Formats: sequence, structure tokens, C-alpha cells
Amino acid sequence: MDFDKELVKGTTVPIVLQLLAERQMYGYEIVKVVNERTDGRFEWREGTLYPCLHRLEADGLLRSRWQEAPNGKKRKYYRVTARGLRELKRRKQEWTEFAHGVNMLLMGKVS
Amino acid sequence: MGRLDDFVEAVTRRLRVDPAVHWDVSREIRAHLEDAAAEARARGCSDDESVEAALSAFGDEEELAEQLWQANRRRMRLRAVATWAWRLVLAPAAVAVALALCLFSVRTIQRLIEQLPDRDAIAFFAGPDPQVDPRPGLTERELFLFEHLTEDLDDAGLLVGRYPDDPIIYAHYVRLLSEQFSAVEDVPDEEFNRWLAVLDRGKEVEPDNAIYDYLKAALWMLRGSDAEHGKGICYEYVSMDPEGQVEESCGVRLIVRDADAIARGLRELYQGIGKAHCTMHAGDVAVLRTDLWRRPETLADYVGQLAHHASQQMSHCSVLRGLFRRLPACAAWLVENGQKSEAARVAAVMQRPAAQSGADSQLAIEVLVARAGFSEAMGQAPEIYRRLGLPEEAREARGRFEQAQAAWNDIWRRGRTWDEEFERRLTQEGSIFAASWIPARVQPDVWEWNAPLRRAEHVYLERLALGLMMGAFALLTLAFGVAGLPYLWRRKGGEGWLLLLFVGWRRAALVLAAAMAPLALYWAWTRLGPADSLARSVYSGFWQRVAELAAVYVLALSASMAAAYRAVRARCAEAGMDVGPAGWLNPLRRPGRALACAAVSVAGGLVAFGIAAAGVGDLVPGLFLPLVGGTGLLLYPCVFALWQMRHVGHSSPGVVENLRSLGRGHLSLGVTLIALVGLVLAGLLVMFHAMVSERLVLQALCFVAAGVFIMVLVYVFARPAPAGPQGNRLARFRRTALRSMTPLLAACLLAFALVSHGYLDRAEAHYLEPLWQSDWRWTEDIEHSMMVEYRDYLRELNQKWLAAHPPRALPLPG
Repeated sequence: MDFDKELVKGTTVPIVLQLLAERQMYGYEIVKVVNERTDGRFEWREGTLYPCLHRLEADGLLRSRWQEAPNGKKRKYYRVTARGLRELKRRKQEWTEFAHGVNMLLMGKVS
Repeated sequence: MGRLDDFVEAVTRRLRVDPAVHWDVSREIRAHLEDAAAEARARGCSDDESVEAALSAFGDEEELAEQLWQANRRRMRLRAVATWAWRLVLAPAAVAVALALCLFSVRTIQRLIEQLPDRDAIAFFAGPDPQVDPRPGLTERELFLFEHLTEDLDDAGLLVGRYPDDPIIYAHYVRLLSEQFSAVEDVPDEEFNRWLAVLDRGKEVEPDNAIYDYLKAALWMLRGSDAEHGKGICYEYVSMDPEGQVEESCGVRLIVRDADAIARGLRELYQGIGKAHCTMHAGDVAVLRTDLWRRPETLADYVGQLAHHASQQMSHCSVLRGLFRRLPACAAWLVENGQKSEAARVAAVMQRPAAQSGADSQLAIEVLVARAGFSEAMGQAPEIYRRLGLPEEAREARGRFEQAQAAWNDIWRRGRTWDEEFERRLTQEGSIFAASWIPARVQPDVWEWNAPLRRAEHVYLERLALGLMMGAFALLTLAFGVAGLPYLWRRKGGEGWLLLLFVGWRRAALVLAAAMAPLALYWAWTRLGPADSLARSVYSGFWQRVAELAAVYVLALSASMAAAYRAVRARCAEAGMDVGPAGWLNPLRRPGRALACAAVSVAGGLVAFGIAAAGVGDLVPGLFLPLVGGTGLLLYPCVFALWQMRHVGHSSPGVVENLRSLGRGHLSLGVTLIALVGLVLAGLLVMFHAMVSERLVLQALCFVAAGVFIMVLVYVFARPAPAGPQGNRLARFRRTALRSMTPLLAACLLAFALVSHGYLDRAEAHYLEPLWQSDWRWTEDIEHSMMVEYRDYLRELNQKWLAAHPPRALPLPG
């Protein structure tokens, strides 16, 4: 089942932050990991990832540097800053509460 | 791949206003698309299909272009501001600051070379013609006291007329006038009479001050006679140098031109004899004037104020000296002319004017003049009495002279112990100013004055070293800027990308931190560590501080250069440029070799130091060590950078290739050893010749050492640009590096200059604070010297004399 685009769009930032908190990655790698973990159900328009990354970098949540990838080519790697980690924590908290609220409304019970 | 290129260009078109961002984003997106296409191809798609798949997964072109623009807009705006700030503000400001600091350092070095060997501390710290400003809002009277040299004395006369009851103002005016008294023999009668009238008015202003009588007496006697030095009455005395030795001194002989003038002079003299005081108020004026100075913020201000004080001509002293010398000669002349009773009267009072002026002395020079006059009059008195046929009087006079001489010798002997203490402390903790300015035989409390002055002097040296450092920094920045200019100019001609490569805020901050770190560490070392309390001799302390600072600043220069280069290099590598072998232009690239070069420099300095210490005085080795090390170290990054710039955009020229092959033939250790052996041989040669002409040879050795050092650097570090396509790519990187390092270095330069200058300003003012508050505002004050004892001795004599000869009972001539 594919997800609604608007729903996916709202979760891009915490997902990117979470993935980069695990290890540094470049853009295409992020897309690949997301696809792997969701069996391709997250239909990201790959291009929209980059404006998101650039914005997060400008906000100081990410840092980037050009580095050689394992295949020998130069790739721009992103990693999370301390500020980014705090933001991730806040977003996770927000998501938990949001999901709890939605579950209460839609299912009438706590998930 | 045409389809991919078109797509990338379409989504990043709006970013073109910032070449570096455009390039960065384009590369990132292209890399993503290439990866996606490659994966599709691996699944078995054709080339076209794989590209289409990658593009369709990437999303809508228009929407993406808008999103990328929105995401990067703020970053590009900030960078545009930074670029404009650099172009419009930072570069001109850095150049202006650098030029100002360079001028300062050039001026200071000039003073260092010209003045220090003569130990003219004033010229060294405040320049040859120091200007002193009074504090604002002075009254007319205060301004008159402040400007002790008025060109128009008629105005001064009018001004003084408005303060009829102020003895200090009047004395100040007379002292100014007395600067013209040396021309008394040639001056027209009209002018001479005007002088006499001024002195007569002085007698009315201060009826009990004999100075005006004595100045008048001196004018008459100077106008009426010439003096032949060493031709007058001779007498023996016990010397203190060497102690106990009997030496002979001879007074002047009078050649009288106008006997009437002499008689008038003697009449004036007798009028002053019974008066209680004899002062020109020079010290009073000096004290009043110190209150009119602006509070000194810098050592130059303070020294300028001392110079201002010192430039006050004590011409009344030379006039009085002329009188004191002539009095015994006058008595002898009267005896020769048969005026024996007049001669006896002169002989009875001739030591009196010197004793009076000595008793009221306020300045060291006044005591010295009085002491010389008193001693000469007392010494010649016995012979005059003998010629008058009064042997009993002569014997008594001789006894009185010996007593007076013994009193002086006692005081001098006590002063010697102060001298020994003074010399000892001067060697260990003296300031340059104390060494050159403190009058001999001062009391130990001079050290309260010395300590802050010494600190202020060290701050001054730090400022000097800062100027040198900024000079080197400014040269480098300018060199980079100038080298980058042609590429800036050619930008519109084609090669437009990465006009100014932006390394990022964090890296720029790191470069600044790297530049400031050595400065901060040195500050901690000098202010908090043991360096501040190290006892050092006055000149070696001076040079050690210069050497330390040179090392610190060179370290800061190298660190900022290396950090700036690293930052630019990392950014260029990120942007996918071919940056060549690691660490081009990085002075710290090969620590082993850099250390070897430093070892050569230090060894050269040590050899020179050994030679100098063996053969010459204290100053030269101290000068020499930092000169050798400092010259080499200071020149190192500059020469290196300039040398490397030769290769920019060129393939390897023949000369470079030759040098390279020469350098390749040696390990750095081998080069070091050769350089060392060369230096030692040169040192031995110099040691042989140093006996003949020390300084020239030492200077030559300095240049040899610096030259060898630089050559070693060139051999070890020179790396010509490789030819061919890779060479072109490298040249492109180097051009970018040239442009991009300029703002970084300029930022370091500005930060250095502002932080250091601001700190030094505050430090100098802080150290001068206690000086401003202490009694030692002017160094000729006799209250802190052994002179005060002699003044008290004369004062006591004066009291006794006045008690024995009450002024009313004094038989004044009619």
C-alpha cells in the first residue's frame, strides 16, 4: 500500500534526521535506505530530498562535506549536528503524541 | 549524458548568481542521477531508459528548481553580503590598518637602529621631536607656563604684567628671557637696559629673592669682562675619584674691558648677599606644568612629556655659573689693581651667592652649579687672602674649604652605596628609561617608578613586534590579492566559475582561531606565567622580549597561513577540483623538514651568539640572536609563498627544474648538515675577523645565515607545477586558492591588528597609571637623589650665615 503524498511530506524531516543520526550518508544513499526499510512503500520524489537537506543545513541541523564514497566517486555526505539531534528528539516526541492523538480519534484506543 | 546535463542545468539555473553554490548543488544532483541511472542500467535497462527512470524518480523539473532556490536563497544572500563586505570594507580596511602598522614599525625600527646605540631613550620611544599637548581648557596663565618657549617675549612681558603679584609667573618669564643673556656682550645698550629693568621689576615682585640681584650682577660682569679658563688661581683638593688623591684645580682669570661695569656688578651682588632666598622657581614651574599635561595614555605620550620638561632650558644656571666663576677672579683682579679693601669685601662674600642658590635648589642641575661655584670660591679664597697679606685669614679659609670639601666627599661616598645598589638593580630589573635617564645617586625608591615603566616599555616592544608581524602579514595578503587580480579581471572572458571560493563560516572561524591561539598563549605566558617575573638585565630583557615576540608572531603567521590554506584546499577538494599533492603552500606540510630548517636557523643564531659573546659587548649579541632567527623565520613564509606563486599557471621552467633536481639529490638532513657546516666555517672565519671590525662582520654573518636559511627552504620546499593536463587542473586550483586565501588572510590581519592593538593600548595605559600618580613625574627632582643632602648642607650653612649676619646689620655699600 502506497502512502498519501501529504502524509509522507510531513515526515521527511524526522526521517532524514533519524537516518543521518545513525551514520553519515549522501542523498542517493538516504533514498536507498528509505526504500529498503519501507519496501518501497514510501514513494519519495527523490529530488525533493535535496531542498530539504539544504534547508536543514542552512538551519544548522546538518553539516555536509564532500568525501569519497566506497565506489571511489566524490559524494556530498551529510551528518547531524548536536542541534539536529535535539531537533530529532523533539520531533520524535511530537510524533509520538500526534500518533497517540490520531489513534485515540480513529481507533478509539491507545495503540 | 546530454539529457542529464540539461535537467541539472534546468533545476539549478536560478542558483547561477552564486557560482560556488551553483556548482556545489549541480554536482550533488548530477551524482545522484548518475547513481540512479547506473543502478537502472545494472537491472538491465538501456542507457536512455535508465536516464529516463532516474529523471522520473527525481521529480518535476519546475517544482524542484523553485524548491532548490527557496532552500538556498538565504545562504546565497549571506555569501553575497560577505563577498561585498570583503571587497568594499575588509580589503581596504585591512590595507589601511596594515599600512598604518607598517609605518609605525618602519618608524620604530628606524629609531631602534638610529637611537638605541646612543641610548637616547626619548628619541627611541617618542621620536626625535616629541609633541606634547596640554589638557584642554587651560587658562591664559596656565598656557603661558605650559608653553615654556614663547617666540614673542614682548607678548609674554605684557601677559606677565597682568599677574603683578605672582612670583612664579615672573620668575618663569625671567628664565625665558635669560635664554638671551648669553649674547650680553654684543647686545645694544637699549636691550641691555630693558633686561636690567625686567630684573629690577623682579626685585619688587620678590624683595627677599636674591636671584634677580645675582642675574643683574652677572649681566654687568659678563658685559664688562672676559674670562680665561684655567689661567686663574689654582688650589689643591682631595678628590673622590680616585678616592683620597690630591688634585689641583684652577679658576678663571678676568680680563676686564669695563671697570665701571664690574663695579656696578659688585654693587648688585652686595644687595643680594643678605637676602633669605635665591631661587628661579624652576622646580615650582615644573610641578605646576605636570598638572597641565594631558593624562598619558601611551609610553610615547609619557616620554614626550618628560622630554617636554627636559627641553626647558636652564639658561639661568649658565648665567649664574658665569658669575660664580668670575667672583674669585674679580677679587684677584681687584688685588692686582690695588683695590685691596674692595677685594677683601668680595673675598668675604664670594662663596655666598653659590651657597644661597644651592640652598634653594629645586633641580639637580642647580645643585651641581651651586656646588661647583661654592667649591671654587672656597678653594681660591686662601690664595686671595694671602695676596692681600692676611696669612691668618688664609689659613682659616683653607680650613673652611677642607671642611666643605670633606662634607661633599662624605655625601658622595654615601651616594656611592646607593649607586652600587642602583647598578645592581638596574642590571637585573631596570627599564631602558631608568638606565638612560635617572640621574646618578638616586634613592632606592626610584624602583617604585621603574617597575611600571619597565612593563610599559615591554608593551611598547610588543607593539613594535606587532607592527613587524602586521607588516609581514600585510605583504602576504597584498601579494595574494595582487596575484589573484588578473583572474578576477579575466572572469568575464570565460572561466567564470568559483570566482571567490567560500570556505564556510566554521572553517573561517577555525582559521581565525589558529591565528589568534599563539597570541593568546603568549599573553597567558607573559601575564600569568613566570615570564613576567623573570629578572632580566635591561637590554637583554629588551631583546629577549623582542625575540619571544618574533617567534610568537611567526608562529601565528604560519598557523594562520597553514589553516587558511587547509580550509581553501578542503573546500576545493569538496568542489571536485584537482588539488595536487597534499599540502601545497602549507609551511607545516612536512614537520620534519620544517624542524630541520628551524634547526639551521637556530644553529646559525647560536653560532653567531657564541662569536658575539666572545668578542663584543652586551648589546650586540642580544641584537644578533633575534635578528638571525627573526629574519629567517619572518622571511620564511613570505619567501615561500612568493616563490610558489611563480609557478602559478606555468609549466615548470628550466631554473626551477634545475633547483628541483638539485634539491632532489639531498635528503633534508643532508642539506641541514651542509648548511650547518657552512655556517660553522663562516663563523670561524668571522671570529678571526671580529677582532678587527666587530659590527660589520657580524652583520655580514647575519645576512649569510639568513641567506643560507632561505636557500635551504627553497631547496627543500620548491615544487614546480607539473606540466600537461593535470598541471592545468592544478593551476586552476592554485588560481582559486590565491583568490580565496586573500579574504581569509585579510580577516586574520584585521582581527590581529584590532585585538592586539586594542589590548596593547589598554595595557600601556594601565601600566602608566601608577607613574602618573607617583611623585616621579619628572626625573630631575632632587628630592629622590643624593643631591638633596648637599642642598640641606648648603641650607644649614645659609641659616648659620644669616644668624651670624642678620640682614639689617649687613654693611651694604652706599
